[in-house]
Amino acid sequence: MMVRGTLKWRQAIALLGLLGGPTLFLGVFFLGPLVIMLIYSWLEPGLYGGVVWNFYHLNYGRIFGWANTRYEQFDPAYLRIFARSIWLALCTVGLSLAICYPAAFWISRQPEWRKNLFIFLITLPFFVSLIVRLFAWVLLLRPTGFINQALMGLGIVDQPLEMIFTGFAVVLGMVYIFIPFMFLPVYASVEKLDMAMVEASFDLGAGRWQTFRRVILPMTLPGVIGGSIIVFIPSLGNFIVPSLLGGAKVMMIGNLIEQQFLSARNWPFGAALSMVVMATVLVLLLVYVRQMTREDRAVAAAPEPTGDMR
Amino acid sequence: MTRSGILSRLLSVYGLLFFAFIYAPILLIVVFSFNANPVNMMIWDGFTLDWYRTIFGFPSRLTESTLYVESTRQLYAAVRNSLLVALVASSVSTIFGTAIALAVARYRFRLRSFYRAFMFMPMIMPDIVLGIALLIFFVSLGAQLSIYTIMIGHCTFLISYVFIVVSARIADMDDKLEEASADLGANPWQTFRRVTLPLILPGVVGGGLLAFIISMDDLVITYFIAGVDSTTLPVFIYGMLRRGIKPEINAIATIMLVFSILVASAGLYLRARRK
Amino acid sequence: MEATSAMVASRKTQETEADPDHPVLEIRHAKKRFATPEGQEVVALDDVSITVARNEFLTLLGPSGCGKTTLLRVVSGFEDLDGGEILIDRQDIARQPAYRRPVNTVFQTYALFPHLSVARNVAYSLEVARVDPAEIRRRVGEMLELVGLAGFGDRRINQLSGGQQQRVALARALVARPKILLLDEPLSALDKGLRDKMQQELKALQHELGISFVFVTHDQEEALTMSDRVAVLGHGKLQQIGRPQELYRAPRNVFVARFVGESNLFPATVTQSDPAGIALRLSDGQEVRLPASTGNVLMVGAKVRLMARPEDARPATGKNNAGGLRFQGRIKQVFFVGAHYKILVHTQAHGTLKASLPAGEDLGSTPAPGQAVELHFPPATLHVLLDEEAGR
Repeated sequence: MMVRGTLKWRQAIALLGLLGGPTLFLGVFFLGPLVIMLIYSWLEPGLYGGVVWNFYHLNYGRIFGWANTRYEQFDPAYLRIFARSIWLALCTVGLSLAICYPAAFWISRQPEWRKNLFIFLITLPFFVSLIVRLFAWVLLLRPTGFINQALMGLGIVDQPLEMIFTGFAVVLGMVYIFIPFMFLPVYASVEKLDMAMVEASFDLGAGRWQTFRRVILPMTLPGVIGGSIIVFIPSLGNFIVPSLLGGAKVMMIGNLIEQQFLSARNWPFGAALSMVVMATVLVLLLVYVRQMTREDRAVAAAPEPTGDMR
Repeated sequence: MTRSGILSRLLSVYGLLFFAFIYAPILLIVVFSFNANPVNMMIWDGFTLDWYRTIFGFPSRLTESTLYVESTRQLYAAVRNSLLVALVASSVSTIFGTAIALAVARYRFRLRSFYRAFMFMPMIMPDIVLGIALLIFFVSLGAQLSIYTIMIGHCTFLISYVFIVVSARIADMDDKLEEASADLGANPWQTFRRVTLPLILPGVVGGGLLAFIISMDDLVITYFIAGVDSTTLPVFIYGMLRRGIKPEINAIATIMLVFSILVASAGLYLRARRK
Repeated sequence: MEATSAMVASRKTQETEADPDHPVLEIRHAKKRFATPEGQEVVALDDVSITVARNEFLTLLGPSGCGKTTLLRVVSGFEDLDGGEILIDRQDIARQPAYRRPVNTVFQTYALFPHLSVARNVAYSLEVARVDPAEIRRRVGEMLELVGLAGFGDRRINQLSGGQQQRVALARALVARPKILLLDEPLSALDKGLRDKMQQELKALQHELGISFVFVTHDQEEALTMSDRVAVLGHGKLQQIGRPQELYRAPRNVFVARFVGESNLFPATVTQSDPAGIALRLSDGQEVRLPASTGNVLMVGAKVRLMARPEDARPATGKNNAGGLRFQGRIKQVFFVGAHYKILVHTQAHGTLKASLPAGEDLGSTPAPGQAVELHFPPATLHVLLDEEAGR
């Protein structure tokens, strides 16, 4: 069909030139690994590391509860760790939202130049090394850390508080590194909020709480949901923060996966765990995208009011 | 004072606390990197540059009196690896990301929306998943983990960042300009060199800088696919932290901090200047 | 463009009149279909054939979506044809990429390169053709002078007004001396006063340079004012092509009559047809006899439409009742437009009619809403149209 010299033909050549390299690269080095991981998750782990090329569904069985063979038992610990990961990720989302929401309002009411400066200041830490930012919290929270030293120095406590290696420390660390992720989407929707609408609500007799619940919250909801998802995803699979601030006590799914690869050497099981994390993320995104497109369609389909006002 | 006056005053106080929360921990590192106390790094014991001297390999009184000093050679190797990886990975992904952005923005083709959605995949994928997928991939292919596997691994997700930044820039550009150029007799390459590239350059440079920073900073993916002697700086520090906290980490962290703030400011400045 | 006349005097241009014996551009049976995102198919060009002569100023006129911009893009090389051919100087260029075609375009939004100075914008086509720098400088200077922008070479594009940008776009497209200059609604972004001025300057420029212009517009007044010939496009088809006077006086169908100028259209039936002329009956029963027109032979009983231009209406008096059409009605609205009154007259049989009456004319009094009037259209001003349009 494609005739040499036509526009279509020339475009095909240009597309091949532009997309050929990147497509090959991503096909091999991005999709390839994902496919191999998927395959691994259905293979039998070898006795001393490595894999045996047999179909083996018990990697997933160990997680969800149908494993029962000579070597492995179903261990609810895995589900517990998974549940804890979801819980900690949800706490992270909640806390960072609680921190960012008022801040977004405060910044949206500043004069233009200050707005820009503040947003710059909020995005700047994103570029600062993650490990450096987490290290700061290790310094703050550990028994001989800054907070404990200060509290003891002031005589408020006489024994160091146990702050590091708790779920709280993990959540705090994740909130700290993901703040820009939450702030920017929330701010974008707060910024769009028309203050005249808030005034209209007051004018129509709604109180503060009513105005917030009926006007402000629904209008800023897209930013809140968007930010929540962007924070939830990296929180769920995180392993750096729990390994530095949670220690052995507060293990998350990420640490479990890491263990399978670096100490337990059960790669198929680790691959299965990763697949579970990935599936969770994909399902979440799918629900979100479906919801968004449905809302868009609802808005588009809503009939325009046509009648005259009488 | 009216109720709303109090409310807005409260909000301002809150705003200050918000920024304190963001910046106090970082500033703490900077301040204590000059702390002379070698035993408890959180108790101020006078000003010193010794930690900086230590990491740059100059003799200091701490070199003898403490056991804290890590091998500076390892540190340098890590820094060198990080820079090398970031340079190669960000260059390659800048070219690839820009190419995809141009194709998606300028041509109508069947897989167009697929590409557009696909470019977000590496960003939404949890780091650890991509990290172990790459690990399994390289090992099952029998590839030696090395600085090259890190470069390849970084490219897989950096392309997405470049794609997004460059796409935003192309969206701002009048697509008639390229037609005008062709109309005036410029062949496709001339059009790219004389019109397209100059106009999207701020986006390309911005995307490249972003990719560079993210590559320098990446810990999770590198952690899984770094070979024994191809440690990068974040992985090196992570290892140090896991073994016990030593004061010179403050100094290293401060230097990294200054470095990334400089690069980030340059990038954001470029972006702001385009208007 | 004050310098224009001086330049004209200094340069000996070969011929300045359109030369129909030398077609520069021939579009033959051009066909183009588009698929809409909803999966429907739109026919943008349906067997369109147009020939542009050397030195001709041809305008493509039509409502938006009529295919005129598609035709332009096909000629410049930004769209492929699905069928038909395009010849420039009798050579098929359908397989040539846009950058090899001796055709330049002035874009609707100008599409000036924001990162280049005015002079570099104008120099662009010469630079990519690797013309000698000294030569480039000379020709750019000449061109800028021609469009009245001498001394503006170092300015940045965003420092120019809309009219100045328009001139840069023109200079840029003309500096390489294309065989054909395509202009895609280039005046639509300018305000009325500037547009009128640019119309005259464009026309003068075309005359002087001896380059064929193909001008796209949806503004019929603009088309009539500037062009040697006008091609009216509608529904992807060429409805009519001809000199402005032809189009206005003798539109070929209802589409052209409606689109070019204002008109009153009356459905009518042919009651008699012989070599001497035809007789028609209107729906209100009145009959009119017209001299035979060349072209269409009409059968008795054929449904046609009778077109009467508003400016041909006269108040009916005893003197001018020799044939023609008469309509009685009441004035609905009156617009005073200086030289004449535009009035809308409501009639029982034909609804609202448009008429424009010279302001000096004796109507008994100044026309006012509510007045009873009788309008008369002399037979010579009436024009018979087939009751269908091409492409419908």
